[in-house]
Amino acid sequence: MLIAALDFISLFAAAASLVLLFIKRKIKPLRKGIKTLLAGLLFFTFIYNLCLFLEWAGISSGLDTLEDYVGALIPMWWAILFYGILQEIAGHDIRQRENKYREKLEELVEDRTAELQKEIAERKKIGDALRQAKESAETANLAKSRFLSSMSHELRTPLNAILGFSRLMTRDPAIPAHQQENLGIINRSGEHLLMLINDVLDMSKIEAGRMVLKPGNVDLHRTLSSIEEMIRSRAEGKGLTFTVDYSGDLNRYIKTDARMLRQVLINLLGNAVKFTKEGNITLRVKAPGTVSPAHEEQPARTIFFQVEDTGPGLSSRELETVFDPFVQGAKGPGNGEGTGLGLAISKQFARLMGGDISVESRVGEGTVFTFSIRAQILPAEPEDPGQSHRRVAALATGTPIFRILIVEDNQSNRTLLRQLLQLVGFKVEEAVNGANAVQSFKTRPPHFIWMDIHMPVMDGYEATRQIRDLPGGRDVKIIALTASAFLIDRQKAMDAGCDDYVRKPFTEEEIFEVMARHLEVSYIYDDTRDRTKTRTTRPDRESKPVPLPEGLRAELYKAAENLDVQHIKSLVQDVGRHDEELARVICAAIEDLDFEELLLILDRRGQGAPP
Amino acid sequence: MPIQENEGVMLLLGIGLLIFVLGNYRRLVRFPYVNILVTGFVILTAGWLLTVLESFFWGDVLNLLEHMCYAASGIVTAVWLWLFTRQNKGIR
Repeated sequence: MLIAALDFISLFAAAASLVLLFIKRKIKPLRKGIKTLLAGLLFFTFIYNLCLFLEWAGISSGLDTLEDYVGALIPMWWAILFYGILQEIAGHDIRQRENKYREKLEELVEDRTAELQKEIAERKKIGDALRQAKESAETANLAKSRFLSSMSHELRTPLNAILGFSRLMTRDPAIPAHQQENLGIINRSGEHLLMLINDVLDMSKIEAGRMVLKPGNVDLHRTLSSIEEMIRSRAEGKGLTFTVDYSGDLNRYIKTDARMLRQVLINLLGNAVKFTKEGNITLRVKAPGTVSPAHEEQPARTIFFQVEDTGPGLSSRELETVFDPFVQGAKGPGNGEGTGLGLAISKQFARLMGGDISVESRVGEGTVFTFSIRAQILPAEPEDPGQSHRRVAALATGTPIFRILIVEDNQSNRTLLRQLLQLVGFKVEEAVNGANAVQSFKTRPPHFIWMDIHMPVMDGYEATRQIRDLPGGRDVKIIALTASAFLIDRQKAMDAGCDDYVRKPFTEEEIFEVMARHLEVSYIYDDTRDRTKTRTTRPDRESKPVPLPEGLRAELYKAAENLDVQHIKSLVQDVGRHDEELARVICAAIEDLDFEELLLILDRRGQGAPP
Repeated sequence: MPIQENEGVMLLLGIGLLIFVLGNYRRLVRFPYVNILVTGFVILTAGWLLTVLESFFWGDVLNLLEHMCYAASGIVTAVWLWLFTRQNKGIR
């Protein structure tokens, strides 16, 4: 009986355990495998105890075999259960290790992220500092550009007057020869000063990357001749021999930047003259090889220029820095003279022209500078008005009377331009600022306006815009005139409505050439060989002026001086018998009540030929 | 009463397993309340030993003890399961 009770307890415990196992479905530490094993063990234990209990109760006596088999399975199930537990522990350890590694990895990632964030913050800080430095540098650069622009303007404006008046005075035959020499000195000194200013500005532009090639048609032979002429006098003045050697097959007409080419050649030859005490200087020009096509239409060629001297030469140390800016040679009489920018600029110019520059030298044996340019070859004589240096004497006979308005706040420059234009026969009016110019235009529109850009009250840009908006404002030619050295000012002037741009200090040639281009006027030149050859697009206007009879001219002159319109009109018919064109010009002058102009015309006609 | 073969096999398997369990006890002990489970198994193994021994001497007494061991083992295992399911402890 006791044994039966014990078996029942066993049976009940197994059944209760099974029930508990199935009720508690979610048991965290028990994985599915262990739960199955445990269920199996409890099931077999339950069957075993059931067999024992039934056997005791005598309900069935045929369960011995089942009891034996199940009984043998129980220790095996225990073994499997313990093995499963050990596997679970091992799996747990692996998971723990994995977690540990993950945590370590996360820690590393966090550390690295923190480091990266720190690095990013530092870089951001550096970036901010760099940006700030860049902004400061840009501000400084802008300030430098403004300063250069301002300095350029301030220096060029008086230089314009110095050079312009000294050139204008050379026209005066009353000035004696020794004073002419003095004028020449003033002119050359002014030009030297201008060259120094230009060097500094050029270097500044090169450093700012704003120097651009302005290719034009160049007569290479004429350019070389003019440079040869210039250098020869200086070389021979020092007792040096100057030789120029270029072969006959050197192309005459090329397309390149004439100013850059001249500047490089003059700089190299000028240095050679400056530093050579005795011996000779040689300029060699050659264009070896064949012409190759630069693009579809224009063939191109590399031209080599070589300047050799017998000067003191350069040491190897000097050769290393010879093209550096603000570096001057240690030898020679010119030590300390100039800006030390010439060769640096020459190198940049040579590169801009598609070539390069090099130097070979030995101390005591002389120096050889070689530079090359890549230039397009032009087939025939190009039309490039910039290369003529003839002096304009007067307007060609029959040229209509053009009214020119000079808008300039600087009195010296205004006077210079007025005198220059009046001298050749233009009728000139003046305005001291933009507002004055606009008012003058409203009263009587001129044919042509020289417009200074930097003026008080109203600048040239605004004045140009306002004039363009007025009736007839589109017909007048407006040419900007400024002492600024920067291309951007040219663009601003063109954007404001100007037709062209002339930089101060201007030359007579530039002034008259621009006027010829825009007004289509013809000139008579001082050079008698070129007297019949005028720079014009309207050759029909050229005619030799017919001298008026002296009596008629004197009577007209007197009537003009007395402002006697009626008398002048009565005399115009007589004039028409001699020169119809002159009669029309006089009529136009009377209509404009421009007696000053009339007197000027009569002055010219009185000499029978242009002065 | 002669010894039964299946009882001998059970005892041998039980002793072999007991040695294995005791040999791995330090690892097994990390499992929640495993000492109770092992106790249940040891008691069961004792029951298997008693059922073999009852063939040699003190038949009735040892038979009674054998069934007591089975009952005790069942209770201990049920307690272990109850504790185990109630506590939700993890492996240490």
